Amino acid sequence: MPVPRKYSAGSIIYFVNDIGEDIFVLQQGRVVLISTSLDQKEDMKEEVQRGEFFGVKSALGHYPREETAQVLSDSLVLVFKVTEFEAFSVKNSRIVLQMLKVFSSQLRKIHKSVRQILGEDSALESSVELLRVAEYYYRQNKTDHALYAYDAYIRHYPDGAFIDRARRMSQSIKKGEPFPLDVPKLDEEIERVMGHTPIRFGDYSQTITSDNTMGTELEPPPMVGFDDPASGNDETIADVYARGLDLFAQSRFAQAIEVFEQVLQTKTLSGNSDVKVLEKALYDQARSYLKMSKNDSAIEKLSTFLKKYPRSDNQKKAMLFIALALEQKKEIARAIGIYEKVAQMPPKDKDSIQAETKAKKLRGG
Amino acid sequence: MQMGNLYSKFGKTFTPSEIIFCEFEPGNDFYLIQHGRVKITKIVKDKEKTMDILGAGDIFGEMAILEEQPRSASAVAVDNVSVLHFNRENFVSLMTSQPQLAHKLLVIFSKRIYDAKRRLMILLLDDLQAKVADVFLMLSEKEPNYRDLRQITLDVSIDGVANWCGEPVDKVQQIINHWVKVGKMDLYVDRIVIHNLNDYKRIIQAKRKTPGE
Repeated sequence: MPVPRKYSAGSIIYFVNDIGEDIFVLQQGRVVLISTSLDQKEDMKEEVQRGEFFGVKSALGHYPREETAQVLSDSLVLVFKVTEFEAFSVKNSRIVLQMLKVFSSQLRKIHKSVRQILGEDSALESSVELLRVAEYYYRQNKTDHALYAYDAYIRHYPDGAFIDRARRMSQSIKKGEPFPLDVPKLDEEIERVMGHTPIRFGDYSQTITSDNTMGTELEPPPMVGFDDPASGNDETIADVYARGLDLFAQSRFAQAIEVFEQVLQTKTLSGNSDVKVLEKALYDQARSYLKMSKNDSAIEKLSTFLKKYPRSDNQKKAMLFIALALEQKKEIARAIGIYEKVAQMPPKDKDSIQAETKAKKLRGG
Repeated sequence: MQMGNLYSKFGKTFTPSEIIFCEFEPGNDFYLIQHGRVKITKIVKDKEKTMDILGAGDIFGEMAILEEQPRSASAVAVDNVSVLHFNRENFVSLMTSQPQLAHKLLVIFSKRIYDAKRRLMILLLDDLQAKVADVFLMLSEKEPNYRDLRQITLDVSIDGVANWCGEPVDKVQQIINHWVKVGKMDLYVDRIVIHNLNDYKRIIQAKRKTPGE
């Protein structure tokens, strides 16, 4: 349950750069949020409205506080833990929806500033890049992907500078023809139409405007001139991980464990999405051990996972698996303890119910 | 609304290797995976690279609800995949019927905003040396023991650093070469070893009132 907390005038609820997991709602009194603008030029003060939440983003995203929350007059503040806030938000979707609107407008503003600084975002350039993708697929003989990309060009840019080329290529794929050799090179055509040598989009341009798990999270562009020895020339660690998953799906757990190990041994990562792949590989390797009833190895890997990725979405499942492994090892008391912990972790989903049922059954037995 | 009902309204299926959306295609849908796996790929230097593999419960393409931006990667079905797809129009009905999803999105946006802000802070610095130093700090901040950290190895190339700064590679190279020469760091093809993060924190502290501690 969220707890009410009293603050006297002049006190500080949290300082900028503090790490904290609490989320606050102002009930009574006055609180001001003090921060410095991103360009360091101005100090900014924003007074919290009564009933308004604050400290949400830093708590949910596990990031340092972005502002100092100072109390102007004696105040009463309701304090939520992240898990309590989650339980609350599931029941109050209207409030969450409102927050989502505020967040998305903030995000949009930041993206706009970034694009302004970098001078990116020309529609012409992204339409050209779409065509490049289409031609890449066509050359690679991935004709269904190529057709999709050409048709996307035709649909989105019906008056585009390269519409004739897109139509012709789309027709040619539909007829089952190989990549036509008599069309001018795309770069030549771009130069003819745009009057200058084509500027290629840097990989960089995508880092900020990208979608989920597509390199947004502070991911530098992939390394140049470097091949990962563990995964061969063109194989990324996500490819290796995918092979492991296939083996897992075929119940070839011993081989899956080896392949996941190969992922885990990768020394050089090309960005944050690779870090995510490592996290998943460790989790799935542990699951493979569990499937083989190698309970000690499973517990060891799962414990490492819990320590190494405290923010993972799979924390709850990992704990549930530890309990299952302990149960199989007949360490019933420890298993019950962990099942009960899992049962308490919000949201109440099928894992909580499974844990609750298990705990009850083991206690009863 | 029940999940079954939701599915009949917003459900979509894809067969193995079918493309869901394509890199650089403008889009305003985002997806929640119900069954199956989805591969996220990008064409980098004339090679298609897998960036990630997503499974049931994962969300992708959610940035598209903000503004119709070209996709930054392609999404391809790995096996038989069923997804719920959403856009600005049906977003509200989804969020009210799936409050857990709304919460998940809140968490994703919180992280995105922080990352995007942090990135913007680098671009807003007025000298290149500070920008490069701040890239090192930004990449180190993800370490759980960042505050006590002195030496760190960063998996980044000079090209990568230059891209983060939004500056030409040769200029960034000059600054890094200087730091290597005076023994502040070591440079490898694929990684950078920082000897003492405090050297770089000091550069930023001179520039910023509230340095990313």
